[in-house]
Amino acid sequence: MYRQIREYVESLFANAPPSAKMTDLKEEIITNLNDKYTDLISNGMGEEQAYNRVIAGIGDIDELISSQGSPVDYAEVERQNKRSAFLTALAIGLYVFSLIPVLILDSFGFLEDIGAALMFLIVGVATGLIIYANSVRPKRGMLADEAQKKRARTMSLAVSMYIFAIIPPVLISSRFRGLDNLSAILMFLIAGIATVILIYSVMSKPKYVKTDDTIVEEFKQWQYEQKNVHTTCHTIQTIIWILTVVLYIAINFLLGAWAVSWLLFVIAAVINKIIRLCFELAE
Amino acid sequence: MSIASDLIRGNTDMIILSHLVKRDSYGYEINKSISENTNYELELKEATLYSAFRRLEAAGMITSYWGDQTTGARRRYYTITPAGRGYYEQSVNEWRKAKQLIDRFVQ
Repeated sequence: MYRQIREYVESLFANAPPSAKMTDLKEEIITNLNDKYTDLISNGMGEEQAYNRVIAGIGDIDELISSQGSPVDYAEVERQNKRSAFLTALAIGLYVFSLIPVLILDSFGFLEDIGAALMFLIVGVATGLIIYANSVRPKRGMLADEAQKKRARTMSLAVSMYIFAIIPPVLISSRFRGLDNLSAILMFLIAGIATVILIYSVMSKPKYVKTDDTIVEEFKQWQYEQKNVHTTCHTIQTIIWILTVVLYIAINFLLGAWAVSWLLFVIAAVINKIIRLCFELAE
Repeated sequence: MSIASDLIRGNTDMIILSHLVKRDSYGYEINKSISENTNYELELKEATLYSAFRRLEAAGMITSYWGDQTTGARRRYYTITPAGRGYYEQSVNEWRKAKQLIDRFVQ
């Protein structure tokens, strides 16, 4: 059961900012829990019972863990918060600016599509920025670690690419009539690459591996997966909303269908609900 | 804990120091000693114990060192400092005085 004790404590420390102090504390707790377990066993207690007794005696170490963060961390958390806020504000500014190319180039009739293409370029960058800024924002007083930052980068790159995928059709189709196929190919190529990146990023998140078939292990695995499932569902929904807004603006400027395009939002709401249901049913 | 938790929690530091005053020790040994001395009426959670260790160490009342272990894993031993001894004696006096005062009301 020593392995189980170690794994349980490791899971308690899973979200702790990694440091030598944290590792020391973790090892100390594990060693002492092992001692306690050995004592209980040698006094005749059963393995399962002793393990449960040891685990039950740990108490709530969340406060212990958070108090082990060095004071320097608070300044860093501040800095990261400010950085995220700045990136978000920048992104929103970019959303507004994205309309400028369209308005300017609209007056030069033949450059309309370049205006639209520029708009999507800027919107793509802005969306990527917002997703990145939100992902690296310190949550519950804890900084995003390197793995999380890397995932945030790939995720925001993927979303940006989805938006960039709209540019080939916009640019090519109106100028070079015969090259419709080329623009479709480019669009799917870019969207495809984005999807690959996205799936790779989601799959490489570490899974919790059950150590045996007890109910305790299954519960821990369920607990861990709950956290992941919820954020994945939320992320997908956010992406859908953003794409809806982009599509809405794009369709309106390109086709002028203001009267009916609002339906897009209703459709998006339905899609989001369906996705949420899918995730809930999958459990 | 079956005994009034608040009363005990306020004196966790003193209880831990009372062990270290006699000799150096490590986490489980202290916890076990507390349990046995109180006939298993008082069993501290690991969280409480290690919070106290960190607190006392940060305040300079105890220091720690790694002892060698025959079983393989290094163990963290705690030892009381002179400041710790002073703090302990002061705490004991305060406890005795408080006990005296309160006894007057409940006797």
